Amino acid sequence: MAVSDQNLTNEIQLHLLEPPNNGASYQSLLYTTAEVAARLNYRANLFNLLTNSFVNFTELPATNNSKIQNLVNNFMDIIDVNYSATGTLAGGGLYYSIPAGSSLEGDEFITVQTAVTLPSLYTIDSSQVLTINFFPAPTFTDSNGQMMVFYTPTIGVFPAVPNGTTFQSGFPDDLTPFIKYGVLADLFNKSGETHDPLRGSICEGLFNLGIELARSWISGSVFEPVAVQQPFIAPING
Amino acid sequence: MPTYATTTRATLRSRIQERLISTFWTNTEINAYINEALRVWNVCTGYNKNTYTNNFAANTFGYSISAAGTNAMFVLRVENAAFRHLDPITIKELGNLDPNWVSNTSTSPTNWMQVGVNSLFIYPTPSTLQTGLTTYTIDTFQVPTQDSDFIQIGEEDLQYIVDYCVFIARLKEGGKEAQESVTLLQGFLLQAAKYNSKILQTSLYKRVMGTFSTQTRNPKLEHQTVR
Repeated sequence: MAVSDQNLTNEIQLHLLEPPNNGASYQSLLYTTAEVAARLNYRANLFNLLTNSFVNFTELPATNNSKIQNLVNNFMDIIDVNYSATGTLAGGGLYYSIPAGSSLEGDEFITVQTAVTLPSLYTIDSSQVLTINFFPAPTFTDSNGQMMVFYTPTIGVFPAVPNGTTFQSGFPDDLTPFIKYGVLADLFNKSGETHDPLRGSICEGLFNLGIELARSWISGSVFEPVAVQQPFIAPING
Repeated sequence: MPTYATTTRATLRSRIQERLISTFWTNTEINAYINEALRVWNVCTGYNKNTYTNNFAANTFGYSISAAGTNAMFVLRVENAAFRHLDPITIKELGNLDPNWVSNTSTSPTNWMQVGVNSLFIYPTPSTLQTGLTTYTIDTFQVPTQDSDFIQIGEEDLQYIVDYCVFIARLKEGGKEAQESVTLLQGFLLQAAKYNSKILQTSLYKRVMGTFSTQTRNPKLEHQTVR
């Protein structure tokens, strides 16, 4: 069973004392469907940005003789970069892992930054949004320059009116309640009649609990060189 | 495999309703609370462990997590058909140890790596079909869909599922009820910590090897009965 935007907005309506109708409308007129959808997208993306729960990897064509390398438009955060000057993986290209670095390091230690076959590092500190910079710029023949990029994508792609859109395949149902509480935290922290700082802080605490838990599981197996371990659970205060 | 067959969803819901003003919450709503409580419990404890035997296609760079198991969420370990384990590894380690890890292939992979919750990698990329690999996973919780479905949690922990549901129900009420119900959530989390501490305390070799690198900055509850 995949949790959809209608499932979550239905539960949100119950918390808000609204008649549940899969998020189609809010009888009190204190909320709008578009507003709730926007909060759902925001909190889903924030959750993913803070946890790296959902990760994409893709091959992208590199730009010849240029430090600036374009990424994809659903990119949020970079995890790993590999570069091939000899074509795609399917075509037998040989990829090299490119370490992360900074422009300062590049400028200090790569004294001749003429184009090379293999870049020494990639940086994000001086790159435009949705790009990374290679130091030095790579050169290649034909269209053989390729990048294999691991990145955290946006996962909030829910429409303004809930229509049964589910989270992306591979994002587990068990993490969705925490995103719901993130949405509720935003709604309880609105100004005016709906303002409820107590419930807002409890819901924010639940959202943060989900972040800590997801990070515990994922960091244990992926991003830190330690074996998988049970998550530590911090106390929560209302 | 044995399963719990003591408490149905209907029974659990009635236990929750006994603690609430029952007319304020519909059955559908409480069923949703039950599903949520089971999911949160699972994320807190990794309760719903499972084992699958899979084939992994040749020349595939990166598998969907569903290749590890239909409902897999986190992978705990992988072993081959000869019961020999593959070691877990990380992107950072691979980048440092084998700069060409993306391109390298082998007939006998040595490592596995989960990236995020949605991808599983076998390293080096298998150049032949890998048959009979066993994956040990934590699955998403299979929530009950019928009132007659049994809740797959032991009685010793089920009370805390009730507490969590009551907490969520009182959160809806707001005010003092919501504030006071936070202690129910804290009890739920404490029980999850006890469950985890038992697993940690029984992991003798992990402790000896010092692989609990975060333990000092995140001290865990000492389990009372397992030393």
